[in-house]
Amino acid sequence: MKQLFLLFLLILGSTSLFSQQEYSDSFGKVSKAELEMKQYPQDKNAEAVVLFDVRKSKFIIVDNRWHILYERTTRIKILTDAGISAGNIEIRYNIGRKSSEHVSKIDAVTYNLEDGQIKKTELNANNIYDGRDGRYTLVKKFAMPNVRKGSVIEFKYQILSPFTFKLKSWNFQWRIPVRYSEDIVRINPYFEYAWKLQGAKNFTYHTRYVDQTMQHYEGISYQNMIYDMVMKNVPAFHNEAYISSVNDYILRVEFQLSKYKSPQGITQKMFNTWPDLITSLLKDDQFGKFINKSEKLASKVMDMASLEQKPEKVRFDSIMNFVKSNFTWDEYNDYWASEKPAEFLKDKSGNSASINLFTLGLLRKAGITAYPVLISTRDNGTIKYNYPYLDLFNYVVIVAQVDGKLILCDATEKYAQNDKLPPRCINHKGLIVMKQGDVKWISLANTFPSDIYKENNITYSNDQLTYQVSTLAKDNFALLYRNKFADQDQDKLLKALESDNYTLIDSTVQIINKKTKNKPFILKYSFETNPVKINGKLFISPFYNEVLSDNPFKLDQRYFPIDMVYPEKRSFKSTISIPKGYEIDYIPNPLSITNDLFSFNYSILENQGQLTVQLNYYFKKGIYPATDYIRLKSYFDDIVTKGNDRIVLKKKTSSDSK
Amino acid sequence: MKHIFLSILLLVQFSLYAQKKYDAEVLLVHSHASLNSDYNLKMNYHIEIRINNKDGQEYAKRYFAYFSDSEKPYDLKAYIIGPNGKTIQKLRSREVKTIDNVSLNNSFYEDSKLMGFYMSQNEFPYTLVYSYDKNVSNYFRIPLLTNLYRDIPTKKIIATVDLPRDFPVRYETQHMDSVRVDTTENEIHFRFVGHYTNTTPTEYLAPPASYFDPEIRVIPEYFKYGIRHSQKTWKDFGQWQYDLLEFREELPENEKQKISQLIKGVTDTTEKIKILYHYLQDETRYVNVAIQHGRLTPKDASYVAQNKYGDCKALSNYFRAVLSYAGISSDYTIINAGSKIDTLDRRLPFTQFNHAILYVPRKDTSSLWLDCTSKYAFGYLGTFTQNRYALVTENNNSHLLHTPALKPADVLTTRRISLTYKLIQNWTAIDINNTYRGPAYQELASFKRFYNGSVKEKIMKFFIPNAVMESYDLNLVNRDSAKIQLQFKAHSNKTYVKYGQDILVRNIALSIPDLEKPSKRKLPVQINFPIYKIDSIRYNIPYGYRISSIKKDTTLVTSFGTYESKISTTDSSFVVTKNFLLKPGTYPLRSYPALYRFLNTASKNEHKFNVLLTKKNQ
Repeated sequence: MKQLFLLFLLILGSTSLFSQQEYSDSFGKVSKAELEMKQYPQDKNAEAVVLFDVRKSKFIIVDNRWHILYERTTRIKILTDAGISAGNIEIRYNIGRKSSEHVSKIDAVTYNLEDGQIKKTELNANNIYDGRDGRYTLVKKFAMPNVRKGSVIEFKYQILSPFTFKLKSWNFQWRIPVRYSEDIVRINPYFEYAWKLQGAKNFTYHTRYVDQTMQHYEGISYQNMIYDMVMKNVPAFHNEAYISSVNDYILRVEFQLSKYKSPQGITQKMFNTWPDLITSLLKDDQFGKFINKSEKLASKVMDMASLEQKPEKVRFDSIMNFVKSNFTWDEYNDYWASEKPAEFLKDKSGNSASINLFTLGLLRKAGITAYPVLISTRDNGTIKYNYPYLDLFNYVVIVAQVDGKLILCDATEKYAQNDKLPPRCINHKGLIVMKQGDVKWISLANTFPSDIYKENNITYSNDQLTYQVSTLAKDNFALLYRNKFADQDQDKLLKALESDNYTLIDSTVQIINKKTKNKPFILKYSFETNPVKINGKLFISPFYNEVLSDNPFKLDQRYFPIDMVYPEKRSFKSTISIPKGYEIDYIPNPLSITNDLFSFNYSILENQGQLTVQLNYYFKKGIYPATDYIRLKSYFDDIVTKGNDRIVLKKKTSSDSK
Repeated sequence: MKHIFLSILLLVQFSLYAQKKYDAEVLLVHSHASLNSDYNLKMNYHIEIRINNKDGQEYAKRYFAYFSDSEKPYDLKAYIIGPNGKTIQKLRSREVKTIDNVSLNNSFYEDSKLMGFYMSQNEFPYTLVYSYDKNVSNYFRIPLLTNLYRDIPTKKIIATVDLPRDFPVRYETQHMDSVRVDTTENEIHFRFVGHYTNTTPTEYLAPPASYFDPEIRVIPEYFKYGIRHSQKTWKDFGQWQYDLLEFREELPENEKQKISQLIKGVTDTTEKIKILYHYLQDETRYVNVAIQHGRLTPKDASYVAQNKYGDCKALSNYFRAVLSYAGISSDYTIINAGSKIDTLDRRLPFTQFNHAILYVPRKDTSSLWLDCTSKYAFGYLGTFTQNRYALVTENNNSHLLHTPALKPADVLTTRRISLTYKLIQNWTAIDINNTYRGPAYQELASFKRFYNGSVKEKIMKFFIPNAVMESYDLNLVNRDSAKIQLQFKAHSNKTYVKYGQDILVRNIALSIPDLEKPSKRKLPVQINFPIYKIDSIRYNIPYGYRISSIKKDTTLVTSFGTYESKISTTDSSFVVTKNFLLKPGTYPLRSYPALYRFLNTASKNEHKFNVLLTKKNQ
């Protein structure tokens, strides 16, 4: 009785949270106050606000199978013209190989205040359109009728889903602010889910309780457990530069089925451990068996017998180079191979899984210990390590043990160094898929900085400044250059280097180590330009647009971590030959900064008629927390200021010249 | 005639670039058309593409859009021939993908689909060969292919058409090598041959790229779009468009009442139109739903009245009905919209349009052109539809009519800027008061209307490079005036830059079209509307400093336009006044060096430092 009373209070508490407002959360009960609302007080810039967004989920039996029925009701206030686009609605739902979700009972109404009266315009069902977006997503689209500044729109619908293994996640946050969002999940005792809240430490309100209504299934009576999660006054989600994926940051709750218990009491684990998932992958034709078959085919494509005699590193490089130069990545990401190994061998092209799993087969045949590593690429979001769900991954790379060292590699990138992952794969950790069933995660982070070094030799004659430029790029910088220039002819290279601000001396353009990926990429060229010359003074830019000219951080604050992918070092050195008859009029002051986040050094040295200007900076981390934003912003200010400062030379007076 | 002129220019010009290496080359495009039962077309396409390197593989991704299952490509076959001339890969049926393309062309919804495949190899060069058939039941022209891409060559184009004699067609070609027409008792056979070996670069202020494409326009006298209808003359084609609107202009009673209420007591016709246009702008929105024949047929006026949305056709038809109810006659008009004016081929009536607007003919005053999707000022056509032919549809009197051109005063941007150097902070306070018209008005008015306040603020922080925004205010002068004002306050350490005892003062440069050097230019020039800018920039001289060197005044007067920059000084400030006008027009390539010289001289002058300030005791 005491429990019942407590439950009653909890339920009352839940509803009263909303009823304290002057608005109703019942579909169709739109108040004049909502229609008269001109601005959302919590965000005066908002173009629209979600007044409420409520989902109720429950389990039901359809055709003798458990399904989840989702009911969603949403109300949105349009505050400005920019908010009108919120009246274009998309309902996305899933389709599997054998079954599909179904959307039904769509009901949508727009409310406007006309001559002081509330005017309702209902959505005509003929104006709902069906489409498909990709392999697994269907979409229903409709434009709400009669939407304008001031309108309130509301819609509701149901989705019946056969996919009980994945209770849909619930986004509390939108790109417009959300005043009230609630997810009520009614789970029967046969299913057990793990859940995770992302983007906040706690809900505004959260409870769970036993539903007092008795349910019946296969002659057994049971009661549902109800989870009620509420978030209030959620700010609009604003995308920011230097983040990996929106999915990693938006405020939401995610669910994963951990157990299914049949009415007969048999408990079945639902693919919910990493070892189960690994075992299943290793048995799959498009994964584990693909590697085994590739291993068997290895001798047909490479001379394995002679390779086996060579040192481990030579074997590793030979295989990586062989795959990179003979097979093409079709630019599709996946962890399932796209065809059979024999077909892949014949076509010489395939998705990322075909390429890397095939490479694994060759490496193993050559006696190198190597395993697939499941990862999620940067644009796909971060993996939740306590959340064993295959669909969170979208890619597979390789970890190989070579000369006692673990090397992470990817054979899709022709010009990446064999022992480095391309930047798109650097995203926290990957899961090693090992035969023993061990669950081992490996960090994908590249803690070694990528280096780039730029050197200018500057001379002045005939009223022209000549810059001899030499760029030396390593690691990821070299990969960027090689992907841009390695397969290009000289014409394209010249076009890329052309500028209206200077005259490129075509004959000086040269690339060294164009395709030799284990050596630095070196680009050399010279150009001529007119100096800024006023009152006989020469104003010379030592680094001529090579250094950032504007601070990329303009905002006053930042909410998300700054993900720069990998640490980077940039060094610039310019040697200016002081022309005869000139002397220094102005040189900038030196500056040096060194701390755990960043180091910077700017110096100028004069020696025997030459000025040597050096600027080096080093962002020491791949990812910085948002709290470091202001500091990083000020470092960028220093880079821009010093990197674009000028040297001023003036003509010596006649007495000086003697 | 214009096209012939361009051809000669291109021949001379492009021969210089004949040896260029390409990532891929289309070796052959062969289209064949014949007529099936019920006047449906049966098309067959055969294509061969040589892929020369890794970058060229982009061209091996082949996708075909179709709008109904009856027009879905079929009998698709593809294979790859390797460097040794042998077939090394064949397309498997499971590798053919079909995807919904519900948001093609920025539509909210389309019932179109994409079907296609991607085959690749790692040894270059290789040749992708593919063919497919297609039945076409709706057409205005026979869909013959020419150059598949603009940035790589198509070495051989062949198009053959076999038609019965009682299916009359007219044809025109552009940049094709030969046409052969053979006539038998019952049939007529066409064979068009051409090539596209001199690719069209992307260059600023150039005519539309379509001017340089090989084109084969085989236009049936009777097109088929649901029904068969004549397009022998513009009047015929316009009549079909006009008839499409029949029975589509009935408005619901409540809408009629609303209209009556809005114009009650108003006698002036222009005022009535303006009131109703404001009503249209305020209560409707652009939503494009393209389904089957709806691509060319407007939705009923009652549909728009109920939903308050529609595409350009639906909104134009609706507003025509609104005006009609108010007793004002207007004509549904179709036009080829785009900021680059694409010349209409007036010889061949068929659909060459992508947008619908409304023409309101007036006898006693100037006629009005109204874009019913626009949120701009009343009667403002903008860069999208100005200065080109449009087809005005009128019962038994459809005709082509030219839209008015934007004049310099319509596009004038004026900037009034004041700069003050703060010695202690070592930065410059910038105070901006600008008025924008023409394309800048369009862009800023849309920005003001369609962006959320926080996003707007974020974007404005990047408005001036190297400056920190303090505040901004963007305001329309009034809703019917096609200009917008921007007040902007910022500070920067890049405008006055201190070097020892000197301060170098950077010019606030006008944005002048940045063209490639004459040695690199390949295309003639087409300036679609004037560019006109006037600046007045006051630079305050910091206390204790004097002007040590000042830039000379510059005046350029050419047939393309004018540029002037003058500096006047006082003890405490100097004022830079500038004006720049580029006239609209088309110019052959031989005039390009003179145009470049004009723009480049003006641009270089703009990027020079204005003034060197020195401490007074120096």
